[in-house]
Amino acid sequence: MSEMRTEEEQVEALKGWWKENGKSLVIMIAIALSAVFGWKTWQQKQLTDAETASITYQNLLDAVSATVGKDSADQVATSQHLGSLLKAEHESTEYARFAALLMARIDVDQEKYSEALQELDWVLAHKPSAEMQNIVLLRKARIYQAMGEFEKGLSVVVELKGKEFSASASELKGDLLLASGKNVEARRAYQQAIELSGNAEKNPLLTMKLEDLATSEEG
Amino acid sequence: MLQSIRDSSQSIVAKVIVGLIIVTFALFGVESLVSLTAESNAPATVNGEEITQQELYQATELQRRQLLSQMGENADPALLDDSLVSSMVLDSLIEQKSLLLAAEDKNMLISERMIDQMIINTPDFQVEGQFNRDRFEATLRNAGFTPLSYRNLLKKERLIEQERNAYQLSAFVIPAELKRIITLDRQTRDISYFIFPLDDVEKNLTVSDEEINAKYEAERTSLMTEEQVAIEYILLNKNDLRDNVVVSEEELKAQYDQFRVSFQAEDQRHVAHILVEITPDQDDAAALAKVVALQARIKAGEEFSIVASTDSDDIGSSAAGGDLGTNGKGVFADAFEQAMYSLDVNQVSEPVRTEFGYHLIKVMGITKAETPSFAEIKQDLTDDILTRKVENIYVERLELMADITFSSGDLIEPSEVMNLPVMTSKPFGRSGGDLDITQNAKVIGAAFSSDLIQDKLNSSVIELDRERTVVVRVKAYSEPREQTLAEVADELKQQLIKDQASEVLALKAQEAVDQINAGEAVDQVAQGQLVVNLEAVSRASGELPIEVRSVAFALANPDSLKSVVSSAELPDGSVAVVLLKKVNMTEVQLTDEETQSMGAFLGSRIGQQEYQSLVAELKNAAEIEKK
Repeated sequence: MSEMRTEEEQVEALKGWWKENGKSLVIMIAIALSAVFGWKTWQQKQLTDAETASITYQNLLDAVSATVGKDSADQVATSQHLGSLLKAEHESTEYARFAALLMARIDVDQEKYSEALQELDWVLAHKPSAEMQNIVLLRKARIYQAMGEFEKGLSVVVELKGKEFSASASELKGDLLLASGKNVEARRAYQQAIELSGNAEKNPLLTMKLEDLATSEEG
Repeated sequence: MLQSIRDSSQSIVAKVIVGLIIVTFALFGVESLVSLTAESNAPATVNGEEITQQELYQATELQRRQLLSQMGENADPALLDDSLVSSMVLDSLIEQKSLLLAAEDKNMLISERMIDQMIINTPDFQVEGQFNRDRFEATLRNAGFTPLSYRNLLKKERLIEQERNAYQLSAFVIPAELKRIITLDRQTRDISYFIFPLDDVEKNLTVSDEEINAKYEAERTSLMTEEQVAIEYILLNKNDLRDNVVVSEEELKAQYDQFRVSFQAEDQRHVAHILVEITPDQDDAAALAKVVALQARIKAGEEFSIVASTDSDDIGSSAAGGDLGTNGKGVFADAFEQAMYSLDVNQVSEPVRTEFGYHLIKVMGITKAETPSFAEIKQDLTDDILTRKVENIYVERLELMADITFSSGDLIEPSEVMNLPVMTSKPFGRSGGDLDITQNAKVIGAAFSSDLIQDKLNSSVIELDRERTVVVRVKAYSEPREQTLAEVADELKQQLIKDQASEVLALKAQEAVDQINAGEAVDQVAQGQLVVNLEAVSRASGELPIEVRSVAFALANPDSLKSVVSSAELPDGSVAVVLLKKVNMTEVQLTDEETQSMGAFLGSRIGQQEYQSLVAELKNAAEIEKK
């Protein structure tokens, strides 16, 4: 800048530079701006999506709790509508999996066992957490019991992992064995369940089931 | 030197550094630098996320308040073990954090907008059905929250609740299991039992001095006396002050004059009404139309009470012809009250609108009130004045008591000044003595404090209740010590006899069980003890000892004709021999309602169990560090 230039010369130089670089500069700025803007919009959309899912789920909970303990075809229909909405439009969210769990319960209430199994299998197919998977398996086994398919139920129980669920698994195994007429094995399973739960007083029903099977040959 | 700083601050490197600082501040705020230097003192971390000291403090405070309010009026905050409460709270915070982190991992979300909605819809924050900002803030302040911390709390609670509900609400019980459990629960059993009493065996047992001696030597270190204090105290009782207070005739007169001025002759009115409710099915206009029609019928000569009994929506009064009885002011809604006080006897009002709907009101009678005479209320006035005077004296004396007991080294001077006798208690332990004063938790706490035991100070004033206040000091303190043989010989002897008797009884019961199993008659085996025969005993039956009942229900189902037998020890040491003769399975017939309500109950039980297992799994999976 120290050289003596006239103003015109400087303007000329700027113009020249602009001619050479102007286009790419504008494009760069445009790209940068749209990238930032796009990112923000995407984030916002994610957030709104999650929010919508959360609100829909909350409404679903209200509808389902209104079905508990009474006949209410309206609420069942509302629940099913909200549930399938969540499953269809927010398929990969936790809320969709929750919805499927709730739908399964509504199906069981109406004794539509194979539909309930479909809902639970949907959950299993959509990457549930390990804990959720365990609970789903317990419920599947219980549904097989209701359908009279004790062998299938037993094979589901075997898939359960996780030490906190082992007591429930054993108890359910006992139920299934008893239902298929294997009293001695059932008794063993109940006993195991009591040992695993560590505290029999927490579960008086389990104790009741075991005591009813007290057989003379085992004292 | 300044020049060199100037020069180097112009350099590219310096500019880059300043630029970085600007960017960091702009994006992350001052905290980003401060938090780097502040040392973390979090009491625990879950998966690397901290539970802060602040969180722990707040939650502990909340818990303390809840505990104190549960313990009631007599609670002494000092008795709550702080470290215990805080470790309990920390555990629950860790659990909460594990759940929250898991929920966030799963991209669950409660948005700010949802929290706004929740807050606006909370009845506690509403005034007349509308959200009220002042009410909101005042309520939070009372509970020790700021709006921000409350929002945070809501968010956490709601997130966890979303997950919990997902599992609990989706749990179910299948019909076969429901039926089985109910059948089991309702089964009854036919049993017999008889009791070998402990006393009978004890009577025939003797223990030698050597045995007692041996037991004493073996256990002497654990045979300690209790730590005890004997206290002396002065007691200020409001009721004692009453006798020395007189109320003069002039005071009474003055009080009566005051009363007469303030007494407003307020008459009472006997009214009846007809209500036309505003409901979702019947809006305001429809209700008004209906009430006008009713009014016209009454004007045309129909009896008010008959119209009320056929057309009033107030089920409480319609059967009685709308009669609401005789009432004064302040009972009914404002508009209703105005109308009823503006009517004459037997007049019917225009339609009156209240929150319930439209009313037609009829006054059936008016009871005039008259100012009571001096003689009539003399007793009440005397009591009022007396109470007020006594209250004043009590407060004065209380202050005097606090001052003087604080400054003196014993209770002699306070006793003289206040003219209260120094009383003494018998020695008592931490579980309290035989006086109501020595049973008071605050007194016990003070008496066993080091201020009183070691420093021999007077306690501060302790309010026992609204009427009584004490100041105590420790008169004598006895440390725990080993008891002598003479002191415990009787007790040891009793124990020895009881132990031996129990052994004998256990053998005897086993023998009886064997004999019955071998086919001997129960009456024979009972050796003269009363054999109780019960049929159809339920699981909840109260007609037999609990221990006998639980043994009877744990016994195996007897096959064919043979009973099964076992024995049970009763709380007093006696032993019962129990025979199970028959299990009665009744076919359970449940109504649909029963099936639904019990199904819901059992289902939610299963759901709770599943959720508890899930929480435990999550906690196991989380990396938890406690300091």
